[in-house]
Amino acid sequence: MSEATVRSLPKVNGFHLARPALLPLFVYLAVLLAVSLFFVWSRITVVNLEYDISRLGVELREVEQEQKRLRLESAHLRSPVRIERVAVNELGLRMPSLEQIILVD
Amino acid sequence: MDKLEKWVRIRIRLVGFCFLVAFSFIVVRAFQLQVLGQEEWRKRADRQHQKSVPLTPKRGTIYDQGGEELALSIEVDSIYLEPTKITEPEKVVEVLAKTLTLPKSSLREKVRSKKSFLWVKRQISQAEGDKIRAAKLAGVGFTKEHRRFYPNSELGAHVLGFTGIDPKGLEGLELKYDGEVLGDGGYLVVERDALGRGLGSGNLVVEGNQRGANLYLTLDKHVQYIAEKELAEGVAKAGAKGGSAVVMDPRTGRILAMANSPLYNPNAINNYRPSHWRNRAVCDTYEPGSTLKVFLMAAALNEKLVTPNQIIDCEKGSYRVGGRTIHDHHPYGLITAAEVIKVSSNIGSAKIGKALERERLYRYLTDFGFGRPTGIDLPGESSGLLRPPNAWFEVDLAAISFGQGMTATPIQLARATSAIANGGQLIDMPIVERIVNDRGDVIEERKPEVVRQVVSAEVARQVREMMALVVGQGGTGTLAAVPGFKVAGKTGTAQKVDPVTGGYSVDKRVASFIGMVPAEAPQLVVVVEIDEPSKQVYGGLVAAPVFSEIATQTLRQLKISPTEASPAMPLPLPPAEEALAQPVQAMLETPAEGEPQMPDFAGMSYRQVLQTMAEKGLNIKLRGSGRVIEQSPPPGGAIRYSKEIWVRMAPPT
Repeated sequence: MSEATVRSLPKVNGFHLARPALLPLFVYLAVLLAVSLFFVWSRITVVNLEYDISRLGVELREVEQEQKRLRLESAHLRSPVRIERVAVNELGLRMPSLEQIILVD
Repeated sequence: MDKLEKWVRIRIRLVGFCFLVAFSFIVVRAFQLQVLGQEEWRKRADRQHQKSVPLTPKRGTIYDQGGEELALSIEVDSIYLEPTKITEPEKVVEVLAKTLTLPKSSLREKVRSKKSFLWVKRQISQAEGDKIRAAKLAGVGFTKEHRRFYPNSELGAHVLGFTGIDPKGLEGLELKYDGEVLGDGGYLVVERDALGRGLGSGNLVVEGNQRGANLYLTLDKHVQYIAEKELAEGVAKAGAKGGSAVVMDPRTGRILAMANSPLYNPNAINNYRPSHWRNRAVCDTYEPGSTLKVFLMAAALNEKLVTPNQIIDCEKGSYRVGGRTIHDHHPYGLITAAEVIKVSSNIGSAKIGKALERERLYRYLTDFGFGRPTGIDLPGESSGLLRPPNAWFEVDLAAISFGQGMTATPIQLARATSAIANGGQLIDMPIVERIVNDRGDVIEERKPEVVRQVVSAEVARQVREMMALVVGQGGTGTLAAVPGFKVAGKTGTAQKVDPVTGGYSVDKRVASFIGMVPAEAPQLVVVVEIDEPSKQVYGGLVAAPVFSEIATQTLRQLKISPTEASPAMPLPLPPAEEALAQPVQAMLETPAEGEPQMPDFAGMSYRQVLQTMAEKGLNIKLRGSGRVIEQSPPPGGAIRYSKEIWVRMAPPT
């Protein structure tokens, strides 16, 4: 039926006017669109992940610095001067005499 | 009709041609941009969306031998002004002056300045930074810098040194190992989008090849603390100008502590004068005085010129050498060579020195490391003065025999004393034992290096025995005694050279003590030097007690068991109510004849249980801490080998 129609179309200004086959075109466009959308989606995802990575990188650096600060504080708290002061003044401890020391191996 | 068709065709071709021209123009331009100008344009693009952040070089951490941090760097904010961008100058001045306690006038000047960048304050605290950030001031910027912190404040400050505000080492190990500790700055390259947000991962980080390495020292934080505390106390008690103490493990030559007085806090160097920064143990030389007699004796014994029991005439305290008269503190007659060391006779020493003669004495002294730098890895080391023997007059030979007329540093003395302590070996060991990079790989590991065998092990043992007499009854160093241990040592009191007259000063002395413990097989060498004591001047009165304190506490710290029994004093038992009631002794097994009985541990402390264990030869399992609240078997019960013996403890409530 359609073949018959095509064959019967007139010729205008030397150009053949034919009714284009739209279905394959639409299918093609749909696939193209889908692929493009997928591509765009993937790019967006990648970019978003990169933002995330960058943010996490900053966070990591901050946390690392925090850890260093805490390490400094713990080293400061462990300083022998302070330990002795706390032991003697606050806890009322004293240096053991020789007889009081028992070495356990 | 034909005409129209022709015109249409021409028009079509014309339009087609226009398109062709436009398209080829695009192609040519695209080729120009994409292919020919690729490099240039890529660079321009990168410049727009890449930002490089210069990183301040980061210094590695310095640890003691137990891995305790002695110096570490932390990122802190530094605050700067961009005066051209300031919108509210008064508010900026107000906030900054208040938070940073800076004078308003100088801040106003900075705010009005035409410059584009000015530091306000570098390395501010976190609290300060938070406050200023909260104020959201335009034209006030923050940048990260590394600041060096010394968490133990004064501890080991002279050894560690310090850095400037730019992370550069200025003194001590920070200076000596600046190349290793200070990393390369490098850049952090980040991708940015049009809004300046960070993009992408850290794989674009282009950093310097080398981040700062970490140093592990031979120092022990706790021993260092003991040495510094006791030295400071000794210096204060003697009313002295300063002093230094070195604690060494003679078996390996490792320096466990190097203390100096006065102390300074490297976190706030500007509060101290440069004279406080001096590491006297390495940089300052002094005449060693009588402590040198030990090495003289070692040399004479090694050359078999004297024996410990050989009688030496000490000329009743007055003896003429090379036109000068030398004196002893107390007049002595005929005494043995060992007693020359014990009572520290100058005349006896001069006679031994004469027997050795110049060349040999010089050779032994240089073999012991005097007169040359020890090569320790600290900046500014002095080598001490020991003139070549051909420049010695007769009186010089005598003077050098008892330690005047030559100079040495405390570290030289400690190293030489270690040689006596370890059986005659002079050992080199740097203070930095290990250099580890930031990934934890060991870059360099140093091992003790035996430089030479100075005297035989037998001679070293004989000298140690003589030195033990010094601390024993009738010796000059009785105050150096350490309870529970046999100490070998030697006192020294030297006159100082007066820089004005060039002769010996009347009242300025250097009191010193070199010692080792336990005398039989020394595990610790301590050298104490007190500079210009004003109340008491003798080494035996000023330096020996410091030695005793340092050695006692260090032995305890290093868990070295006493070698000599000391009178044991029983500990008073704590009040009984602290212990909980014993469970009903229903299953009490009455011990058979001769079977060991379980003592009553109720209410005893951990230490008392251990003491009882030692007394009765029991092996008891201790659980918990505090006072004993439960035990198995119950008091008086039989101890069977098949059964576990335990006590449970709980802290008193």
